[in-house]
Amino acid sequence: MDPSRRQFLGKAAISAGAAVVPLADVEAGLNDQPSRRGGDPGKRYGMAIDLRRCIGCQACTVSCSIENQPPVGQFRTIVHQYEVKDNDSEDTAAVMLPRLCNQCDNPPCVPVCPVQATWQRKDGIVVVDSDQCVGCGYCVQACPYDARFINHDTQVADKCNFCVHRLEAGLLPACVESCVGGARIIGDLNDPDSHINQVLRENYDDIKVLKPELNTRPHVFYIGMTDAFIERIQGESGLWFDAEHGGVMGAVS
Amino acid sequence: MNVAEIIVPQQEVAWLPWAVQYFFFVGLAATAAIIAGAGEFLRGGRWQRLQPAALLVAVSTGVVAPIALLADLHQPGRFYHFYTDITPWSWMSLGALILPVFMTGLIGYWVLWQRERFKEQGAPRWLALWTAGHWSGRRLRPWLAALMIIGAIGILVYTGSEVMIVKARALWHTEWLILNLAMTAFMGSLAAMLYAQARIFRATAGDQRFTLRLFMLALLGTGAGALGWAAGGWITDSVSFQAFARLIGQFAYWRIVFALSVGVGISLLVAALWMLRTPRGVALSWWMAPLALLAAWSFRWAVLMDVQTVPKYGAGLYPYHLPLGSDGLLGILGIFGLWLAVMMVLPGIIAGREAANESMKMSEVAHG
Amino acid sequence: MDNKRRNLLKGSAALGGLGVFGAGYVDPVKKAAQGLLSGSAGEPTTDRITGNALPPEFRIDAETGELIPAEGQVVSLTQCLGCWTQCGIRARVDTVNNRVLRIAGNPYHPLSHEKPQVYDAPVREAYTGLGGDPGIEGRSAACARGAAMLELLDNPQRITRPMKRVGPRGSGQWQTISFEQLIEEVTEGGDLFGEGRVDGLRAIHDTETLMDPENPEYGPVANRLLVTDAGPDGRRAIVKRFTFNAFGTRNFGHHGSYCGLGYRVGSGALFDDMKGFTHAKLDWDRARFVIFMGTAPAHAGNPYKQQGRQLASARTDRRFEYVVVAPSLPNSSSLATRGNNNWVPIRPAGDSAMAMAMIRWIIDNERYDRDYLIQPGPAAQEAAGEPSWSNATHLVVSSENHALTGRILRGRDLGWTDSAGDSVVVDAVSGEWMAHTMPRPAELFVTREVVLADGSTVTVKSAMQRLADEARRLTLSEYSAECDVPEATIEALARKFTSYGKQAVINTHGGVMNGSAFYTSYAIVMLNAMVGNLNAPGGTFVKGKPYTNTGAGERYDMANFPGKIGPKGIFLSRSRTTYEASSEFRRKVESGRNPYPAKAPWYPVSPPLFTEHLCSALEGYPYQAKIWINHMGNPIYGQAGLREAIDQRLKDPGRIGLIIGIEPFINETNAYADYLVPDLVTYEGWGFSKAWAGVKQRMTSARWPVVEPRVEKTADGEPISMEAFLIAVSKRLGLPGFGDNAIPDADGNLHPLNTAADWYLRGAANVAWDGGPVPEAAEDDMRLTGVDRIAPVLQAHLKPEEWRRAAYVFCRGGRFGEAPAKDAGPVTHWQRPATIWNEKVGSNRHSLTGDYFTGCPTWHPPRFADGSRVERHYPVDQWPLRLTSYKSHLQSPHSIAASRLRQIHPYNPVGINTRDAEAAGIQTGDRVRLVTPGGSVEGVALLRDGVKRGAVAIEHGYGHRELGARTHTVDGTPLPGDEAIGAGVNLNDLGLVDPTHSSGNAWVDWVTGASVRQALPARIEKVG
Ligand SMILES: Nc1nc2c(c(=O)[nH]1)N[C@H]1C(S)=C(S)[C@@H](COP(=O)(O)OP(=O)(O)OC[C@H]3O[C@@H](n4cnc5c(=O)[nH]c(N)nc54)[C@H](O)[C@@H]3O)O[C@H]1N2
Ligand SMILES: Nc1nc2c(c(=O)[nH]1)N[C@H]1C(S)=C(S)[C@@H](COP(=O)(O)OP(=O)(O)OC[C@H]3O[C@@H](n4cnc5c(=O)[nH]c(N)nc54)[C@H](O)[C@@H]3O)O[C@H]1N2
Ligand code: SF4
Ligand code: SF4
Ligand code: SF4
Ligand code: SF4
Ligand code: SF4
Ligand SMILES: [Mo]
Repeated sequence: MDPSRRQFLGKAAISAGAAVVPLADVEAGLNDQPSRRGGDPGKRYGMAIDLRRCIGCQACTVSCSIENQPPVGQFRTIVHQYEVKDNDSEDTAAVMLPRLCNQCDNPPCVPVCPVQATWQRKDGIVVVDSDQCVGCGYCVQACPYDARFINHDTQVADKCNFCVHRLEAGLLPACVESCVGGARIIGDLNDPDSHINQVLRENYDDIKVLKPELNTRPHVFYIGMTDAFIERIQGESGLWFDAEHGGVMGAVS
Repeated sequence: MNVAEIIVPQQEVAWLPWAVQYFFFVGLAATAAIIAGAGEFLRGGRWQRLQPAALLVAVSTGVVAPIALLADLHQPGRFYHFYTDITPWSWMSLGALILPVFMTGLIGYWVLWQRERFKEQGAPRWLALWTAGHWSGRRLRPWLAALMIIGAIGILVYTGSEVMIVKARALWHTEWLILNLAMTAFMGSLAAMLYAQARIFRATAGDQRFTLRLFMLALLGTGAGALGWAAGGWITDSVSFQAFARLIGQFAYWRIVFALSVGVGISLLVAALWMLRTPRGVALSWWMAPLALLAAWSFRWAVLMDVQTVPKYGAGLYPYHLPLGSDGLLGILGIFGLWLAVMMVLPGIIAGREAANESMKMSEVAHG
Repeated sequence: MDNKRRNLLKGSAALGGLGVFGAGYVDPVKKAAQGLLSGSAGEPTTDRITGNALPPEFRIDAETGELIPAEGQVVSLTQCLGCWTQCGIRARVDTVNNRVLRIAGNPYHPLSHEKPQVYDAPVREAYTGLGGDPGIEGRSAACARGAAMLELLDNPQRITRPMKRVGPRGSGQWQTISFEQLIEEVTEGGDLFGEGRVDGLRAIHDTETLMDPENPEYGPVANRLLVTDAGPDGRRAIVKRFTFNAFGTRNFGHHGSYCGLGYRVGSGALFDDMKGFTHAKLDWDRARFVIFMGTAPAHAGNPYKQQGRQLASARTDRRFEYVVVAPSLPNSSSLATRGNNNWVPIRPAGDSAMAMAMIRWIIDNERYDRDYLIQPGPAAQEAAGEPSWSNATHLVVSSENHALTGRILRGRDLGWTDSAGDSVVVDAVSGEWMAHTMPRPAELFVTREVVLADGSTVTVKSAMQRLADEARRLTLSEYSAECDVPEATIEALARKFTSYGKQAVINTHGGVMNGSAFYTSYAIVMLNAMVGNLNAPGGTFVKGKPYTNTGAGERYDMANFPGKIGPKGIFLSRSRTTYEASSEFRRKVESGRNPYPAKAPWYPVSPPLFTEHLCSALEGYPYQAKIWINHMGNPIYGQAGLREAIDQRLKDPGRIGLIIGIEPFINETNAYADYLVPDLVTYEGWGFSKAWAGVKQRMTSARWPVVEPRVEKTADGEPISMEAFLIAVSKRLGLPGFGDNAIPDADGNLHPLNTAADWYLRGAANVAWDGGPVPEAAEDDMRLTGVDRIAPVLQAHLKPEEWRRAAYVFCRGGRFGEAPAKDAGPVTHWQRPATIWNEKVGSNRHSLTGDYFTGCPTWHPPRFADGSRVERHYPVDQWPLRLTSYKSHLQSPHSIAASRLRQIHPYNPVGINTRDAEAAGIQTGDRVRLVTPGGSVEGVALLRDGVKRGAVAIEHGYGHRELGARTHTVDGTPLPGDEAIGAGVNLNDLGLVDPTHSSGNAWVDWVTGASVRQALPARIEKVG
């Protein structure tokens, strides 16, 4: 059983309803998880992404960008696109991989924060307090998934927070409600009847998370992901679409 | 299976060159402070005679470091949050507590030490106040020295650990990093002391040879640290070593970085060995200072900046183009500029009447 | 040196050091200061935790499930124009600041949801279903583009006032003028640009006088006006009303001929529909095996978003397999469902060969649906329980140079008196002649000599026989060599395709736009006839009928009006008419000369062609146009090679004297205009659009102003727009059908057409009544959707019993019929035959060669107008590569100005096969120059395994020169261009000019006149 599965089993226990006990209610030791703050202790939000349904349309990316207004060019979510070739059969196919904050159950980005400006809520959502953040960038380093960035406008750490403002209004996150393929599913893992739990149960054997061996216990679960994408991509790097590559070119005659 | 990226975003660095400057200067300050502090406790003259140079290095870099640190915050105005919201489980928060302790120790110790020298040799008129009053502070000195040393060790431990605990960056995630940062810091500060002794203070050949030996030790320490990391990593195949091996394998840039480090390290070692053999060599040893300092600085650049261009998930390397402005070149030069300014004033104070007079020939220095 | 000098030195060193420090440290200090003073070194966020997130549009109470709308926001359902799919969207509107905040999908809309909300559900119910767990099923999305297009509303590059050129044509120098001056000048003409007299519209408004008595078929002087638009954006009816029935010119054109005309005419040929060019889509609910050959669902495709969802569901939820045949790997492919999809790389334009090969294999191995093909007519179809019928058994007159050559043998030809109009077939049982209307099967393969009523003897062959003959022209291995797809693959595909009964489908579109587009397309769609899937569940279906809106409706007859005139004469594009019927032909024959070739190609089976209109109008063959009004159309960007072909001629005011561009922005085409008229973007205006295809139920989308327009207003307070312009011009010229007493209602009373609202609101009433009146809108519906804002306008224009029903339609973003059950098959059944042989094609000759067109699919490689193969002009050793175009999955040709869309993929790299590139020493990121006989561009190379060897793939939607890329000067002050908008390359800048086309037009398909953008010969070189 590959490690990502193993770690999912670990997490399955949680999704099966066992209340999410904050890792450390007692005073946390150096780099231990501090106790969770705020949010509904009865809930544990998570996201399932069914890669079989993802068509790489990036509607989620744009909707998130408009909903949360990060500076143009900085992303809380974006869908990675790859081409993979089977070296024997020469068959080539497309891979779409939506990426966002995993709202890890053991989030390395939290304990590093020197001023407690980022924390995990009792419902599992990892948030940033933009008034408290000193912009030291430590959490950005600590996130193994490049899910965080220093927002150019606000000069503080920014990341996906599952559109907590919409969840609390009983609405769906921007990326979920505008998912064209119907790949993104968000919901309460503590509610056994929740849509997300049904989907996770149905596809139990095909669920993977990114970099399970780091024991961050991600709560974004991928369905239909090839093993080659669990760890860092071994392959050809693409174009960084920055000015360097002289994007601005065109007809010369 | 052959994977090619078609659409992937790029991640920019979150720690700016300011961080390199901080790690560089605070490392010099801490290691120099330890050596200066040693002079307080270890008897036998040499350590004491090394104190002026050590304090010169420690104080000059010590005052510069925090300034660089502040600038690495994207919200520098909120630095006080470090103290209004002390966070015991965060290494960086811990560092925020250690730094003032160290600074108090360092500056406090230096003030008393300097006061004593002024009392002996008389202070320049504009610093007369320094010797005001009839108390000596002799009894306080060891305590401050202790504080300074503990603070310095604290600095070395926290700066190293702060980086080491970041699992997300495999290259950083090794205990050896703490040692390597410390050793290269010693290498740098001792080199600076060699220079100070030779060019600023009337240090005898014997004293310089002593410093040169310490420098040797630092070099060996650095080498040992590197070998230890590599060997250990190779045997236990640590993530950090794997990651490095992959980079060497895949990217010419990293091969160059690697070659340079090894090359510079070995040549410094060889040079030092050779210089130790003859008085003339000792007299020339201060020439190694620039190279050693540059090496210490570059190591930090590679660790802090280059490593940030290694994607955590993607293939290839993220592009990083050093900005010319405050967050880049100008910022780097600015901090060096500040150090230079300090170095124009400080020796005059510390060296007092010992100030080297350039009419003195090298040979004379050599032969005391 | 003495102390003094040393100290001086030290001092200055110290100062220097401090100086540099100061310079390097100002920023941190500034930040610190700002932080200490204002609390943040950056822009403060609206909320410390949720940052700058938009305020939610509603709150759905966790306990009660009640929906509480937010203050100052409404959620309006209207129509997207991010691409020509034109989905229904829901726009979150900030009613305080008159802004569109964010866009998602309309839950009622069949193009935005697999299982749309039932039409009569209250809006509140529909919106409540969007939240929480139910929302996962209920969600209705806009695609990335649809979500980002709201940026165009306040785009700095928008034109909001009429403008007139002050520099030479195309120089980008403008002067703003009043709407009234605009109307005055374009109607009356005069020395408008200090370049001499220019005819205004009045001068050429003459529907009586022949423009050229020598060639009466050219029609009246009025034909010297050319009117064009882009796509059917839901406002075309009023443009046509003006063009054909009020002004009376014959010449109208739209983007169809550089969209997918080759496909449409090929499809029309199969569906026996050479007017509407009907085309079908696959039944996603039931199809089991689908080949996408030249179309790419989930990447582009129309409907883009809906097909993306349908593909995702089909491959995930049920037994469904598909293959994509294309030179470059599209996003239709998915590794996640590897087992059920595959990509077959093909040489650009290889499709004609591959499809013919499959047809040959299917016929040779008798894998075709015999029971389907042997039914000669509706009665037989009925009896056999087939979903449709074909003319496979009908007999084609196959002797050369007979009056009936290429025609289907009719009863009258044999002298039958009854059923004289019926086709003649051979009774399968008796072997006797029989009318195709008999309820019995007929012989499938027939070849006979027949003595006709007029005594002449001809050979007749059944359509199926003709198809078999054509298919057997090449062997499978020869076909395979032409398309560079292994024989084994072709066979395997043909076998699999014929293994699912009628639940196998092949679909195509833009991929056929090569130098033999028609025959490529006809061959591909013919495969559907081979399995008889038309109208079959799991097969192909034609879309449901739209609701009548601004046409001849139940409430208002908007298609007819007092004084309506019908256009006369032939089109500028020489289409839908034969060269043989022209005076030119007659003269040549009379003077005993060989009438062939014609001066330039004619297109007997094609609709009016934007792709030929311009070149003809400029060159004066058949005749010259004097004035061109272009609404939105952008062929200069969108038609391969057109810029190269006509740039100079278009800049010459001596040819087309007056060009009027109507559009919210300045596109590459309107950049040549003499006058620019602002227009409304979709969120600001009215309109009714339909599904292009792929929707079974009836549907019509309604567009309405969800925000106040940004454009200036006319003297009488109307926002300046295409409608305002046409109405004003018509009234000034006193044209019929505009002004007071223009729109008759059911009782014959006349109503005015003075404003856009006059037009579209009556259209809305028609929609509300078509197929039974809809209910009246509830107050709550109107409040939640913001329709209450326009309620006064509705009341002012419509009858008491009408306005709330119109409001009901606007509240739901249109009118949508009930979705059929998944296994029910289509709602609309195509009644006409699948024409294996199309006599309208087969009985016509090509105007340059004089050869008959083949009336059924046959292999044709790309060729120029005179029939010569491309390689003859551009040898392979000099032009080894073939360009292939594919639509950006993100961009449309007009979305580039949206920065939040651009950020994901700021420019389009040039896709090269990895091995080809390595052979040429090119690496990803290298700057490369692409050269064709038509031009050259510089781009950035991207090595891809997903590109066929020998092909170079270019994503369409980038490489803009206008739409904000270029700096224009308005009233002397520059309107700065944005480099980012011009990023990347445009394949059309590499398009070819046909060396054998005497008018020097861009390369178009020799049969249909469709733009040629696939398989352009090219070579690539590394730059620097
Ligand atoms: N994202 C997006 N979607 C759109 C649009 C858009 O602009 N952007 N526009 C809409 C419009 S107006 C239309 S008409 C439709 C068009 O929808 P499509 O016709 O599906 O899209 P195209 O990109 O024109 O062509 C389809 C495919 O043909 C393939 N192709 C190119 N050359 C060849 C060839 O020689 N042989 C074969 N077999 N394949 C080839 C390309 O790889 C491409 O993927 O899309 C609509 N949807
Ligand atoms: N190489 C290559 N060329 C192609 C294609 C390809 O795939 N490859 N695709 C072809 C196809 S399928 C098509 S349909 C054509 C499309 O070609 P066109 O339909 O002629 O051009 P578009 O850019 O789609 O739209 C025309 C204009 O609409 C304007 N517009 C945008 N939004 C609005 C709005 O809200 N209101 C109003 N009034 N105007 C608006 C824009 O300014 C734009 O200039 O391009 C064709 N060209
Ligand atoms: S993904 Fe990164 S940012 Fe998100 S919780 Fe995990 S570690 Fe933190
Ligand atoms: S950037 Fe902000 S949130 Fe992240 S660690 Fe530093 S202070 Fe904490
Ligand atoms: S949940 Fe919200 S913030 Fe997170 S990716 Fe989706 S839209 Fe962005
Ligand atoms: S919106 Fe859904 S389908 Fe489209 S890219 Fe995002 S996750 Fe994939
Ligand atoms: S598919 Fe086209 S019309 Fe539909 S939402 Fe996307 S851009 Fe708009
Ligand atoms: Mo199109």
